[in-house]
Amino acid sequence: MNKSIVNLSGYEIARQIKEGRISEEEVFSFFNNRIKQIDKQIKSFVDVYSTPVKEEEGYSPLKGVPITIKDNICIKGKRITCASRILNSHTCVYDATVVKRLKNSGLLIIGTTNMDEFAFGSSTENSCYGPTRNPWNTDCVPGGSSGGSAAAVAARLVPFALGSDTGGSIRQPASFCGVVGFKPTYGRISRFGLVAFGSSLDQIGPITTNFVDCAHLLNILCGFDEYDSTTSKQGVPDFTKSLVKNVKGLRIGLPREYFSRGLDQKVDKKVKEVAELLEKEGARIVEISLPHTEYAVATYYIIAPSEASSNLERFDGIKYGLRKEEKDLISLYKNTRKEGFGQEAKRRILIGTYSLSSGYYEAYYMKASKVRTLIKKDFEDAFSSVDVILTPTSPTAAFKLGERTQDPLSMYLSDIYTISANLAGVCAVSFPCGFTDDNLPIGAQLIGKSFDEEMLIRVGFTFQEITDYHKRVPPSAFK
Amino acid sequence: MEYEVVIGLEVHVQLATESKIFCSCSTDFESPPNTNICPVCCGYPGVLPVLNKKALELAIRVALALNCRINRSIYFERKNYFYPDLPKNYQTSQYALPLGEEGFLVLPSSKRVGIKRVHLEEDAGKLIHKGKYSLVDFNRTGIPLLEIVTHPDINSPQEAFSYLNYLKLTLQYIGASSCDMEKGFLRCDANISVKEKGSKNLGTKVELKNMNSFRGVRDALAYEAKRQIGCLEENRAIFQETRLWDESRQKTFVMRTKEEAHDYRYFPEPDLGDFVIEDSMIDKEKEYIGELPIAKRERFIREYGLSEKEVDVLISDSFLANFFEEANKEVSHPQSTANWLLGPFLELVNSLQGGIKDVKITPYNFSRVVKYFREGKLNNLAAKKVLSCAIENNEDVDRIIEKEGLSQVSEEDELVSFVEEAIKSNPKAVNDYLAGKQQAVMFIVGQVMRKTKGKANPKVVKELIERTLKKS
Repeated sequence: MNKSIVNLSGYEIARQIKEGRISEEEVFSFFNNRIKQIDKQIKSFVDVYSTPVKEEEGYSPLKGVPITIKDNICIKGKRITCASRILNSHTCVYDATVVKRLKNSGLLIIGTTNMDEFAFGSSTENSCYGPTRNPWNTDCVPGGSSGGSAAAVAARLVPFALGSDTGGSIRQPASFCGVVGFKPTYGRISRFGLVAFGSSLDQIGPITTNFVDCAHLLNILCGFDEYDSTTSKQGVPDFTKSLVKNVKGLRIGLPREYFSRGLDQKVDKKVKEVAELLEKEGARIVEISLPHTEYAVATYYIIAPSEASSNLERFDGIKYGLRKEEKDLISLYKNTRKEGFGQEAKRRILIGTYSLSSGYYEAYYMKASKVRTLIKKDFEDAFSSVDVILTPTSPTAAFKLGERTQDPLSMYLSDIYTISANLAGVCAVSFPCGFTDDNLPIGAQLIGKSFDEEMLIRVGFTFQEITDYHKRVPPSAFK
Repeated sequence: MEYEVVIGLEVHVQLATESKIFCSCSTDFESPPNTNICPVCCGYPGVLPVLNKKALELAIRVALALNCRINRSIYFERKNYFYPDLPKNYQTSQYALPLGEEGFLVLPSSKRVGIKRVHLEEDAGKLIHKGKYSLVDFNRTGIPLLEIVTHPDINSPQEAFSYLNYLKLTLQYIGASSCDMEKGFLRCDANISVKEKGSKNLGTKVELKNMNSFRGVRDALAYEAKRQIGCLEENRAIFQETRLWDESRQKTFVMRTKEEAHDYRYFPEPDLGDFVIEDSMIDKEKEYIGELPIAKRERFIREYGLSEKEVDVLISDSFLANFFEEANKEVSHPQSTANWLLGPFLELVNSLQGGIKDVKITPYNFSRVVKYFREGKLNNLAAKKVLSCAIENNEDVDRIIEKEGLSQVSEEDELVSFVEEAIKSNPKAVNDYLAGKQQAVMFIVGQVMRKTKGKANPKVVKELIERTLKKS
């Protein structure tokens, strides 16, 4: 019986528990054992809990199902590391709002997953624990920065996971690992308890194998939080109501800027196939333009590091985390941060500090903020003529470990299609839409209007109903 | 050569909110170190700020009381600098667009001091240096702080002193801050330069820090003005620098030069968003602004005919000023009411442990003491005694008088026997009086007062003695 759990969705597992066919404890120990057996080769987890973190009275349609949390979200009483040496196994003194919501919904937190240090990266190679590997090919990266979460879900080590997405950190690894990664609208899910990277861009979101689990998790996670002033008071619909196979009459936009130079041919082909399949289901395909797309990466790499440079100032060796004792204050700061931060973190702190410095602020941060407004307007304009936008998630499938670590620019470009949604604050999701000749997953991305997550679920679910890419399980899951 | 002093003041006041600006911790920073703290004000990983609406309301109230233009859409910015008393290593503050701009405060001299800006921010923690170590107390971290910056409109240390006093009074009147500088609720830095009288060119500006009282500010400015004038007269350069006031040595010393100035890398605080200040919010705060001290001062002088000196004391505390007006409604004699308030009442207040906070007597109850005194029902001594009995518990004045038997005796019939006895038993004083020593009668009055336990009306007693002795 246990063997078959691997092929069940989280929602189906919960139903079996409810029907008394399997117990919560059995489910938990089943996944716990799987992690022990299989994660040695994938290294997706940072910590695996022997007993679940949960709330006894918690209840929801996902009650009893294990979930793993990206290691930049606070779980009270557990350590948080952000895959950085500088936190030095800091123990959280409070629960992130999303963790509280998961507990109140009866989910079982089974552990924390690996990531690029402070979510700085697109390959999960910038981790103080070493890289996580792609379950489809362990020579390849799982993407990043939520690579641990995506790999764990893909290898069926856990039914689903939480990630965080600042410029594509949920969607790009979901694409590389062949799973569904959802970045909700900015303000949809509380960031309270998420260690901030780019505060105006960060969003927490679910990583699942399918849209049913995704909709159920969004129901749990979304909503206003009095502890996060940037959360919206917009009403939260029942997202499972959007799990309908129907795209008739929907206008799906294909932005020409996303299908140009640098896009892998196979990826291009598979994403266009998505459009064709949806067209057959009654959707209308429209070519559109998002004219400021070419500035997105440059804009992002000013705004995100600027905010990050400030957000990371608190890691100074005074209050918590790593401290390198020194004879004077300045040396204590310097040595703590020198030892504590990895190379990419230092690079971004420097870029951000420079961009905000007097004399450069106008040319960099302020200019980038203005371009950001233009990018936002691109989407507003586009959504006046289409209901949803379809693009590739990343220009290529997963690349080899070490392939891009020496060339930060090429690494940054793997987020070229995901960054705009963060800058504009709109919602987006990546879902599996095929495989390369080397049997690596390819992801397609749907981008929706602000607070129109329902549209993404509806279109994504329809595609899922007419294909079986989401059912394919990587070979490493059975080793 | 004559010189002109140009001064600008930068004041920080803690707003009188119950909880901190971005979390729900208590603002009582005198509690044991690090007891009023939480993950938010300590800058733990993952926390977010949520603005305390009360802090914004009080800030608006202050900006209005200082006649500022209120910016209707405001936001916060991060001021980035590393210091151990600042847990996030950035202070959430306002920079490009302050809450209030271009206001003014009028001083009793009719001088109008321009207010450049009023902005809301969070306070930092407190460092305690102990030998080799420095300890940090985060109780103060996140207490709402208002920065109030003047234009360089102030032209003497005394004027700066007066500005601080009236700023403090204004903020106290509207309930925005206690402004106690000794306790650190109010802090003040000053900029000062000197120039030749009439010259349009401003001199080199020096920033002064580390003053712990209004008097300290005045003394530091006086010292610095003298020092700078000395430099000009002896043709020595004045450097743009920050100097610290040394209270014990009554001198200023160089702290840092301009070259060491920080780059704070301000940028909009992404965790808070914009705040739109609606008309309704402004209207609500306006209601909390009653008559301000400078207006009250003018009115008291005009309406009650009291001296400036008396009025200055009365308005120095809004409680006292209101108490005066309430009590005088009953007494209808401003001078008597003022005399009793500024004299015996304040004397008693000073002896109370909590000062004016311990005063429980109502203006009405107090007014009866003054009235009874004026009507002759209580003599001076008895009135003071009644007041001291009622001040802390507001016991009914009539009951105290009855209980203690303090009602003044003015009936000659009741006093005659006391007078006769006093004359009989004090022959020396009688002889002195009869020999022309007018003063001697007071000794006999004193004897009667003692025998009557202070109840006798001394005026009546004196007349009675004089009449009796003249007859003999």
